[in-house]
Amino acid sequence: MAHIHLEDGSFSLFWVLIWWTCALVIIGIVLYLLRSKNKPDTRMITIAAFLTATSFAIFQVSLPFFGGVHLNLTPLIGMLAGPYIGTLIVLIVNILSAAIGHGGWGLIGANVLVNVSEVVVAYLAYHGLKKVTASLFYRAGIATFAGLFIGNIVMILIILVSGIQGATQSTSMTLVGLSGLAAVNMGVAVVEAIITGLVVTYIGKRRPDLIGGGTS
Amino acid sequence: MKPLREMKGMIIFFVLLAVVITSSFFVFMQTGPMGIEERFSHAVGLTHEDEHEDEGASGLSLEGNPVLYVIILGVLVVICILAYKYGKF
Repeated sequence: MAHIHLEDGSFSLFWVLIWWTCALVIIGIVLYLLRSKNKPDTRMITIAAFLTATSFAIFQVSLPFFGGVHLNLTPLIGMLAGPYIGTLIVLIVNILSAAIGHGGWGLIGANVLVNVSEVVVAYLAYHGLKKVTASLFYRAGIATFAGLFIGNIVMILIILVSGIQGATQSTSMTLVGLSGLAAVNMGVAVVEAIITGLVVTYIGKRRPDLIGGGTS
Repeated sequence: MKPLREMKGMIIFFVLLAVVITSSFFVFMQTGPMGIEERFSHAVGLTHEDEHEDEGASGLSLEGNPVLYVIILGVLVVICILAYKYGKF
């Protein structure tokens, strides 16, 4: 849901390279950790394929809330696939999105960092909330809010640090503008939290082995 | 009566829901309706070139090239079917 909706050329080449390098380092670490496992988990590969297709499909659809917004289900990816596979999924979804003209190629690195933060925070919150509530719906819903909130913070930080080429306002004005944008984004997080809660609850009833413990 | 542990989760969820809805509605009332690209450009101080997207009766619209969207989604669906058929699930 948090996604830097700017065209190529909005960031200077220096910052494009910096964010791409950071994203590639994270992806390299994730690949190393996954390869160090003895055997690839074919069940997880199937889940990853489904999550990639679902996230890509829903990511491109602009919903008629607040003038037009979209979901991307990154918290759900974190909860079902975990942070390692989740990182690879958001990379693929961002590359495929750029391929169809949704988001710039140069911004994939920055957008991967934003989405990875959502995946990781949602994963940690979902598992950390086991002690607070047994309800899968509320755990998933709260974890979704947490993930998307942090995603928005990371998005704002990346833009403020990078600066925007051709922007006609000060950094403080950009901060105010992006804070408003994040507030509207979080309104859409309500829809995403409810959808994620319902999906996790359904999977919890049908295939509890896929999502850890909890009650519906 | 629901157990206290479940109530705790419900209370946190609905408090978050109320805070988020209130703050986003307040900001939305100040800025007015805008498309996501327009809202983004406005927030960072760029001038937005209006690219009107076709909306159906439902108000839903696609971002990016619809033909490429269908092709890529088709490929992903085929991958999912193969992964489901041949993977241990």
